[in-house]
Amino acid sequence: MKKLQYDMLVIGSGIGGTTSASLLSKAGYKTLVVEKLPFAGGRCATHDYHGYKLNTGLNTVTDDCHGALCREVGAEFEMRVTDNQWVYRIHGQDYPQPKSGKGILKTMIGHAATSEAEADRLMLAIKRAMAWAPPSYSWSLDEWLRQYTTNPAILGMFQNYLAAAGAIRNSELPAGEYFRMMKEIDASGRIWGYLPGGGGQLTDALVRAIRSMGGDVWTGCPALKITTRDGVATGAVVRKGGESIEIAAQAVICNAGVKKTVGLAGKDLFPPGYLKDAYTVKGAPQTIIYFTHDRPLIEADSVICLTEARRVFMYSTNTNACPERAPRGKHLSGAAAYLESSLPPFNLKGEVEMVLADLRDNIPGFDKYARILTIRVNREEWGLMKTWPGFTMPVKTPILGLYTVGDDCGPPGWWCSPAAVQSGRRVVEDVVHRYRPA
Amino acid sequence: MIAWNEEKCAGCGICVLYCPVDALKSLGAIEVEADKCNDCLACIDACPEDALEEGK
Repeated sequence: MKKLQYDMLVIGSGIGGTTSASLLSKAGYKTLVVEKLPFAGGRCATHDYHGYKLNTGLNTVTDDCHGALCREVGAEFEMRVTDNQWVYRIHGQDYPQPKSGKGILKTMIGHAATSEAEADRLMLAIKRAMAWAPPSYSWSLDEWLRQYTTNPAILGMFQNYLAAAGAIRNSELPAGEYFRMMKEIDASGRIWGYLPGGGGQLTDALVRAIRSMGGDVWTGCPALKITTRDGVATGAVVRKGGESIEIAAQAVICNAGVKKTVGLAGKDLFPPGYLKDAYTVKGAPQTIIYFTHDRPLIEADSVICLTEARRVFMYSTNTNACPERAPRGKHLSGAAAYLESSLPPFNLKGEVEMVLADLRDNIPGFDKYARILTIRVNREEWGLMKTWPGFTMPVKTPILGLYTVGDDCGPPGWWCSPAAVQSGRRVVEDVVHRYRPA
Repeated sequence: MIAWNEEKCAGCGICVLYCPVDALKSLGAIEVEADKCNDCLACIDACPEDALEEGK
């Protein structure tokens, strides 16, 4: 078998993998990234579909998180910040969310509350949880909220926010993780924007940076096995162009999800406790529908947030900010929805019917003027997150020199792509203390 | 003709984007239009979860 030597081997080219590989390349480690799919990026890729640029996952980025990483490794980063007006539909009436300043949450809860006393009671509890004693992880946010209110519009507002931030239901999120996230949110960046050509521009730019620093990125190249000796990772066997190649490396960083990492290295190498945690990790599912239309269907520059719909929690027209994402004169819109439960089995047909019913109810002319491009029930490994928030794994595995990265390995309180970036940063911080470039 | 395995499918929709003859549709479930499919197997190569296979 052909043999090649690298300092560092990264399996998977999602955000966690490309973050790790770009920072390692910059630190002088000869790095190889292998990606089994024919394209780089995983859930951070953009594909052309009949002239429409559709994202596999990532839609928005922040300058503080993604921009800072790109600047650090010399990758291009052009974020388009829009003046989008977020509008919450509560009891059938539209309430614009204040664009900045303190008291946004208080204002929005005020719109949904039936009395001032109800709003004050909940706000006081939130303040105490933030500034004094947060609730534990052993009960859900839904249980925590219901101590103070059972108002469906308020519960719907929280559900809307959780669905957008982490594709999870109020009843599934540990209450403690919600407040942890609220504390960490500034570190991920508060100002979100779009990449004009779609989310995939992020990993495309990181791949170019890795290559320009002397690293290699091979797509269409599956890892067949992570190799180990005496409980220490030694590299992997990969398949490239019909040929098996043995890659030797000082450490292996796997961005394929913890369960697949276990499978690649061999289940019998891991202690039962780790396996129990790894198999507890379950994807956070979300339904994404892309549709096109010739005339505007959604109020310009608005992101509509539904608080009492069956499934859809948010929709907007992507081409308002990024006309590059559709053929000339066409609009591209997207809607996102949660599922009845984040646990399989999923009733795909039933979920899709509810999503379409919500869009018909809320967007005048939807049936007549919208043409559906794709409806995806992203689930398991392709969920909005590879894990439910609050159920993450550490970046170090029980095998010495085998790390895992991705949004399933982020620090507590970090969700989605910032969690993936942060997992990569943590791995590289550890690598530079343990290994030297050859 | 391509067969779709709902249990393995993770809903990424990549098969639809990689089909050169537009024979696949993602409408929650993946639907294969038999008269359009030319058995090129591009979708099988692109599927990250091995949820598509050559049917009979």
